[in-house]
Amino acid sequence: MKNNHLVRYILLLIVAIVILFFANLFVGSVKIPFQAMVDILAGGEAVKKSWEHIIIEVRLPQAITALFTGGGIAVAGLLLQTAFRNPLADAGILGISAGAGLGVAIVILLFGGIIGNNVGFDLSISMTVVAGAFVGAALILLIIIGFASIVKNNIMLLIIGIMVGYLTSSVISLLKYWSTSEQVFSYMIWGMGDFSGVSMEQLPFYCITVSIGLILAVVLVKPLNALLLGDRYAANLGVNIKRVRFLLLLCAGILTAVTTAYCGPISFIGLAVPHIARLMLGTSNHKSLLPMTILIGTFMALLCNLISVIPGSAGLIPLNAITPIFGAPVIIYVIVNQKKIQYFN
Amino acid sequence: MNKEPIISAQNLSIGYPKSRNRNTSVLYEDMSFNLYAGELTCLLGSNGAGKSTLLRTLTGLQPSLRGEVNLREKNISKYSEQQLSTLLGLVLTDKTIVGGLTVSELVALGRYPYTGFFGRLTKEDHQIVEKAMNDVCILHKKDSYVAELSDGERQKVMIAKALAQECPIIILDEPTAFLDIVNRIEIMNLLHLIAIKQNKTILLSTHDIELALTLADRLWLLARDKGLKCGVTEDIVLSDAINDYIGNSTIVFDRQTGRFVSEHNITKEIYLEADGELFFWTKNFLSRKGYSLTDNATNELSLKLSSSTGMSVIRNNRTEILSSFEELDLWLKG
Repeated sequence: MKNNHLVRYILLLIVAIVILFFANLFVGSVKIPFQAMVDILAGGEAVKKSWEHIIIEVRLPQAITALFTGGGIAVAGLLLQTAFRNPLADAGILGISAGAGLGVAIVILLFGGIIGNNVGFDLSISMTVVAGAFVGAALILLIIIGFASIVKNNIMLLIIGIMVGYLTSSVISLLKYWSTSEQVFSYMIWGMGDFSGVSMEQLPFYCITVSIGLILAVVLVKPLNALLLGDRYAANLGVNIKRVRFLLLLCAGILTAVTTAYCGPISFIGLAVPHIARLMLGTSNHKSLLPMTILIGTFMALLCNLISVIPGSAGLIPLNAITPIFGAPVIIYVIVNQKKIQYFN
Repeated sequence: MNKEPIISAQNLSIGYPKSRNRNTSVLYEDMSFNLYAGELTCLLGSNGAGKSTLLRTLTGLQPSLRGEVNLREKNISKYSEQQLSTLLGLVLTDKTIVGGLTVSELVALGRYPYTGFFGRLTKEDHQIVEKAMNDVCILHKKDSYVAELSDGERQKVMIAKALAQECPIIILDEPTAFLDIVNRIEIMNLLHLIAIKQNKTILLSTHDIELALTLADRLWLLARDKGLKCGVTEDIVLSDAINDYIGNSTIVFDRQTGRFVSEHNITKEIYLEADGELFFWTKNFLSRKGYSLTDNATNELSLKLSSSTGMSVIRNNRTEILSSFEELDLWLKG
């Protein structure tokens, strides 16, 4: 019945995403004429060799990374919110991003470099970083799951997540203390969030991993809806709670780990986008929520990335300076109006 | 004249097994019970009697300590979750976050065990969901969000979900808690009708003794020191079981009215002559004031009421005519 809305929103978002995608290719520190950009994308000869390099090797992977990352972290947020039955959960707040960051920090200390800053591409290194991020994220997830079985209060669990995040950060600080200033600097840059960390060669691996996470999420739509009823109701409907919970967290873990490893801990997209999707659709049915979340996440990521390159030759604005401007007001709005917002009940 | 039970248990022990920081805690031993199709059974017991533990054991959510619960003559723990989901529908008191689903979406979740990988509903599924909503009289709200419903309507939706699950057995944990009196009666009536019309086995725990007495086919009484007593409602009522299992020294079950009354401090006797509801409410008034009724028409105090002549009261052969209970109160004190 409300399908019309959904279809209209989806079409609108797709159009907006396409426009934003090309805007991301067009806008940057080097001015490239629109016609030249189109020619380069069409595979034609570029007027300047450097333009072709900028479009194909820099802006295109960055835009594609934003495209996948936005959808990925937004979906991770949605999954965590349903899995913990907590509308304010996301990888950042629960400390999972920090865990991934810790994994990355350890790997960087051992291998001495950030994947994005590596000259040339070495799959084994990037795999190690992703694996490190995943182990870190999974570790924190396990700790949070452990606490979730003891602490039933949603808000208390979030505070525990924040505490665990602080603990993780303190370990990271220790690691930084023992590192060279170059390593600290590259880690700091990584922490600001950036979609440019994935090179053209790494892109297929990145996109495939994020896609696996997204496909897994689509597969989980049916049990996700049953989980809205709580564990016992869901179990009574034949949901294998343990398995579904494991898959949900695995999926959220993969998405958080891979995006965090390459792009840094990007805040607020995972937290706010599912709310924007729910507020727009009015529903908590994952069947329509999931595609909306992916599209809005992608839209937000591309928009934030576009804003980050607006200063032009003056440099980049870190992503994590932009995402809260969109995300924080949404969360504040949701909290202030939670009595009126139906999906809270 | 033997009926086949759909759920039965012999010598069942329930409670919590030994764990790291607790010894085995046995709540009840040697429980035996049967549940039959087409009957509404109400489980009554005071708070903390272990009603929820019994329901959990009975639905296979919690393992029994000894003995087994048999569902259609097979141990309930031998069923897979998938199989159980089509046999046993639950309505719980758990907190849900389904406010953002529409009524029909929520009821459609009851089709979960039957639908495919992505939960797509067939035409038949849609019909079953529609019928379930119709059965609980919520069809007119099918496109409303659950958040927009009253507590009573929400409970109906959860019952509809259990109906859409098409289970022969429905078990409800305090379905009338938190509801006002009209909704409580409506829900209980509904469950009673469903049991009869759809030949379902319905077991619910409740504190609504008066409703249970009128609508339940069977009562299960549960008390910590006495165990479980099962029987047809009227058999239970006419034995003194309800008093033994649920009442205490000051709150007693009145078999005449089917209600629990608190034992008043009876000090004086009065003779009362009245009809119908006048008699009932006058007795109510008098017993609250500490008077018991006597059959002795020549008693020192006597009271005659009729709708035509009003109240005539006699104390020590002095007759007065009163017009309200307000005045009667003053007269009794004076």
